[in-house]
Amino acid sequence: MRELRDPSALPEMRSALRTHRLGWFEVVMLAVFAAVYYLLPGYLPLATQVAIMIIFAISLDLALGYGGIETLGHAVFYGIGGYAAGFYALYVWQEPISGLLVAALVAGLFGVLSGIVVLRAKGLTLVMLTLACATMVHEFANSMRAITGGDDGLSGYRIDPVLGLFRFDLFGRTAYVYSVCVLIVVFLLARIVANSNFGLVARGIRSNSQRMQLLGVPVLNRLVLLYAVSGALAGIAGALSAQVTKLVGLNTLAFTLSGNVLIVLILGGIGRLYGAVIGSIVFVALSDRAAAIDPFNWLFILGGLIVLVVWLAPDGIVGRFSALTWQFRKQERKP
Amino acid sequence: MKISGALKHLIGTALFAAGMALSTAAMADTIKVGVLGSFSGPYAPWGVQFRNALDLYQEQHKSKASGYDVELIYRDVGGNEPARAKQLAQELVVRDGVQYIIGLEFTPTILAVADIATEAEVPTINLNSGTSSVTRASEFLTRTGFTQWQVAAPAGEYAFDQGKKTAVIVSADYAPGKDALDSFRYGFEKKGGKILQEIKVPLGTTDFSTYLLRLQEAKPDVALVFMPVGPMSVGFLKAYVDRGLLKAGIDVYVGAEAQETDLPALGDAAVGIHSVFTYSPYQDNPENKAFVEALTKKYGAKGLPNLATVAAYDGLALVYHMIGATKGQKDGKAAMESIKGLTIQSPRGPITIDAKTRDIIQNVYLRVVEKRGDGMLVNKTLATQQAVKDPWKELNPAK
Repeated sequence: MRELRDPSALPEMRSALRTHRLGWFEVVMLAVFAAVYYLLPGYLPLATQVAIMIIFAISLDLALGYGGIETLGHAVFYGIGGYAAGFYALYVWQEPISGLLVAALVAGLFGVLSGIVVLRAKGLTLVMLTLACATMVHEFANSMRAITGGDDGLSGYRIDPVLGLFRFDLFGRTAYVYSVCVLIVVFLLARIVANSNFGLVARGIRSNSQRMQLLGVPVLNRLVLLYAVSGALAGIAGALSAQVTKLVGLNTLAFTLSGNVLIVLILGGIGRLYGAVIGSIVFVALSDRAAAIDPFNWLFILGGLIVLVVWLAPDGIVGRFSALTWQFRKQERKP
Repeated sequence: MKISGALKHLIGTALFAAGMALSTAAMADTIKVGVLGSFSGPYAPWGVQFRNALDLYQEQHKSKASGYDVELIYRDVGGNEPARAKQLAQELVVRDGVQYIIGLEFTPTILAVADIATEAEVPTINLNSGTSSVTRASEFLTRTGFTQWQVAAPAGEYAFDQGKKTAVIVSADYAPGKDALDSFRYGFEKKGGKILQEIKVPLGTTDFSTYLLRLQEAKPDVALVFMPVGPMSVGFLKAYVDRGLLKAGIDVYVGAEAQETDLPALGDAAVGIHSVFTYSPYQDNPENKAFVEALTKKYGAKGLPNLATVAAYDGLALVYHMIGATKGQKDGKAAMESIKGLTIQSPRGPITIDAKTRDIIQNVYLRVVEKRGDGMLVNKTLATQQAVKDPWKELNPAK
């Protein structure tokens, strides 16, 4: 029983026992975000989109990577968060930070309600239910044109300066710094959740939910809670997008977005939070650059590269990387 | 040969790094015009038509507007993605330094860009979104497409003038469809007609039989129809003629749905479909003849233009005019002033930019599909309503 003597030899145990400490990765990322601000001022709007995508991908990682909740309708939270922030700015208050909190609350609440229904299912049924749930909300937003603007989108609201000091400027500086600050908070929150006992329970459920049930864990209850937390974070991403774009379209609820965020996560690596960060940077930046070089055929380039990544690094970019360092360490230890 | 894991990883990383490092080179001392459109994905046909027209215009004018070099910078929005449209517009303005933006197909994308247009004072030309209120989003917005009200309200009027007293409106169930519904009703009832029923069809419908049955049972004189151009419009009209409704005496009036590029799919049964629209590639005027000839010479049979092509062609003509009027200087306000009330000879007939609303004033044509001597199906113009202003703006004056 070699595995028992060396629990870290089992990859699943390894990932469960690994805790996220503040390490070089966070430092490098902070440096990158700061460098982008000073060195690439022309790319701030793009970088803002990257930051928003990271938040969204982190939220999906909590549900899918930690809880094993297979969802193809995660955009529903993004969209609900966006519309919530839009309505809040339109009818209540134009202050952005409270707008984010309201959006998180609304999206989280929707996570609880829809979670109670859909999370009873597993596997393909769950995939279909999440998809159906997102489609229903999408159709609802489309048909309630008087309130949501339908296909024309929800627009016409203002957003006040952040903290009353920094107005959203043409160069996208405020939007960028604001999004990155929100990203840092979301990342830390997600890490606390992932490292907590609750996070460990979620991973246990993902590996073997029956066993967790036998151990006395209220599985559905925990999954719903995780789904709601994940939904709330996704709602924040949607709300950020709504505040930066000053328009919420039906595309924020669409299947394409749910699919894209899944691709981002697979690209970066599931179940490690860092994967969401790297995946978003690579996916959004690459799409943008490819589209700038050849606006007419860039999807071929992007598609080709994604196929390449899946072939070369089936665990995602971060997965590939950590596997490499693992190999490296083992080799070091051998002699 | 077996590639080791580490090497595979290296290749992957290197490819990504190479991809990220590439960036577009910028040219100095030319006037840059940003083109935002859907050049990939399901809406790519729009982008293709934009590009056909813009490249042709550039070629015809040797990329020189009143002596200033003009460079087009294409950016792909990839469909109805307002966040991306805004990001690209922001980058075009801030990084590439464009003085004008043209393009955009959808209401949300154009509204997302309106903010940038106002703040950066960049004149922006909306080539397609047919929502009337769009031009009010920024004083730097204008339009060279059409508004839904502009074509659907006259369609209602024409239908009544042709002796139709009762009508059923069939429209796709989304925001532009609602506009079509309201404007058909407005035009038809203004003349004294009676709307028997409104039938809303969900987006993405492929089987229209239940809707057509309802239509048949209502026994109207005429059906006023709006469907998004593409599979739905072709599918609906095909089902309509296949079911024999046209033969049964229920005439059908549409807008852009009966465009020439889609007629072959309908076959000879399409003969007799009425449409009210702003452009047909077979329109009989010298500008249009030259336009179609140049396009088909450059792109072959695929170059046959439609509403998107002519909107893009006229859009760039407006930009050229603005460049001349501002002597190549970046002055958004003066540029916008220079096109207010401007009339240009478009392939679709004369078009004017309304001095007050910055919206387009153009002729609207009543047409009917007929078979030409050589077997081609074409729209024949029956009547012309000159210089139609957007009726919605007249009904909803700005506050």
